[in-house]
Amino acid sequence: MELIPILATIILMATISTFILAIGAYILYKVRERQGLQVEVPQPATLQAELLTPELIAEQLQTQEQKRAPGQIMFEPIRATAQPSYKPQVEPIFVQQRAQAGPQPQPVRSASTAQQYQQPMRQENRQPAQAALSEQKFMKYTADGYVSAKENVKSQGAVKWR
Amino acid sequence: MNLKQNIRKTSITLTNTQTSKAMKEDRSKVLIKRIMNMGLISFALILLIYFTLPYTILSFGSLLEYATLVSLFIFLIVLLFRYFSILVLAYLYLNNYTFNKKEGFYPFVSIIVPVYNEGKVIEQSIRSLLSLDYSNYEIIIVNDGSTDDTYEVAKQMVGYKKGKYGDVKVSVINKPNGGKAKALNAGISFSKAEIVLCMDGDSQLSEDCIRTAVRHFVDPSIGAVAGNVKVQNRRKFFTDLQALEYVEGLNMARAAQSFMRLVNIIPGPVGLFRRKAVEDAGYYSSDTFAEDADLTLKILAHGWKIFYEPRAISYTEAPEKLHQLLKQRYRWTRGILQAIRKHKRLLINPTINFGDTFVLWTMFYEALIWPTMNIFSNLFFIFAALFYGFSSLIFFWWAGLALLDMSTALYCIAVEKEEIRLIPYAIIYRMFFVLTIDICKAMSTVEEFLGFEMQWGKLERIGLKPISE
Repeated sequence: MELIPILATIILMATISTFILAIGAYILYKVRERQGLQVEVPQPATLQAELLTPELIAEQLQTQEQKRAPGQIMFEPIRATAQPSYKPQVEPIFVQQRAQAGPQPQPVRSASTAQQYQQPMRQENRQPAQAALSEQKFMKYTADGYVSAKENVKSQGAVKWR
Repeated sequence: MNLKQNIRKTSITLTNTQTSKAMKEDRSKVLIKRIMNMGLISFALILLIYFTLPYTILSFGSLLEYATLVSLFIFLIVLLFRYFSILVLAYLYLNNYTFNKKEGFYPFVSIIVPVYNEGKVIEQSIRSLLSLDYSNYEIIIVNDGSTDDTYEVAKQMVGYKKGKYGDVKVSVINKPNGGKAKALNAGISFSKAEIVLCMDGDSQLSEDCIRTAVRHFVDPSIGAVAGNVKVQNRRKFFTDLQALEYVEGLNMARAAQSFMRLVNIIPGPVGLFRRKAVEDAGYYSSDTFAEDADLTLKILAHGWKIFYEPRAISYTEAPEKLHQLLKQRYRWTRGILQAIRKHKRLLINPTINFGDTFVLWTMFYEALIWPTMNIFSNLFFIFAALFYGFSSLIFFWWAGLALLDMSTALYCIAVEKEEIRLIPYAIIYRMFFVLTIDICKAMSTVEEFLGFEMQWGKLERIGLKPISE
């Protein structure tokens, strides 16, 4: 007997078995899941939670919260009074300070679909960011980092269009 | 010098509001409406064929044969196009990745670890996080109302723990159960870092995960970086097949998408986000069962770019039993379809954000069109073999697919430096493993379309060994 018909029969039987097994397993899974189905209960607007942090940090967080202006994001290093070995550095570290004067993080396009999503966090921060984006559009990257295109034109001196 | 390790317990208030359009709708009315619409459309199509067929040269039997052959040909072309486009784009991405060095950016990172009944694995997960090759990070564990000993285990971990380059701050937020999305939101809100890393409680990160992923954020247009998920619990039939699937089916596709900076899903086990991008997107939502896909689509919709970092590896525990695997895939499929439906405006209108439209169509194709085509092609070959005696057709179909899968697996395994012993699994991968998954996907799609209720399932965990073992 030739090899191909034998292999074809094996594969045919295996494929049919896979179909039966998959459908059977799915039905069994649904039966099993249905037994544990719970009724959805309405959720409250706020939840009380518990925060566990090392004590020194908790004290500093409280003082930071008091100092903080609404909506402002604080990136202050957290240091213990007893000078621990841990010194978290919350500012980014650049090996070659090349991005120092570079553009701030921004999406590529300003989103036209912004309104469709809820919870626009810190609205007050968004306006200056958009203004900054329009300025950054024309920034040039030079050996000294990012520079404004306007400044560059001025420094070139008396170029006039007739 | 030792730091005094007193733990302070404070009470905090978390926002729990979640608007969900689907919840407000009357389910039974929606179900009846959809069934009626489907019935009417099907009836109209049958009438159309019935009245127009006498004007053609085809009979009913030949129409069926002709339609099947054309469908199969289209399926074959699409299959080959999909394979080769993914491989070419992934190659271009990896080529670019290899020669484009980016180093030297080390911002402060918060690792958010949401946990729900992960008592068996949480300690190992946190211990793996303390050995990361990065100096500037903290760990925030969010206990989402676990009913086992997760909270007790997590509480033991609070404090300044010894990391690779110094002490690492470990905090715990203990909140009532509300789902993974809300747990992640609580962690992100509490964090002060510009970059947050969201992961699963049962996953373990590779040592250079943060260091390799975070450097892409030096580009201000990058809103998030997707990591590389690998199966840890191997050496079992199902988990080995999933390991191959992750390498060949998911990671290679992600590399191809990354070439266009349009990764469609940032995986739950490892994803780094720029805080501003998450805020723009409105944080994680709980109205879909694939909160990671939903957030990714929202970030893309706001114009941010998403990159894939193959060296930011997260080892995760894959389901070992068939019913657990079906449970996982059921949730993924319905979650992705919910996310697509939520963003349907972008799906049908490419002028709003072309990138997002492209991503949504890709997801729609992978979640719905591809599984349907695969099931129907297999049904056709069974039908042809049983009723017309063309049993050799199914053999050649299987041999072609197996050859294609084996060559792809060889390429992917070589690129990712994975285990060579996974390659033989490619012989049965497409025909049996993918077919089972596709049947589950098709059933889930029908249920999602008909609006059946579903709940978050919790996969049983057995606990992972440390990744060094």
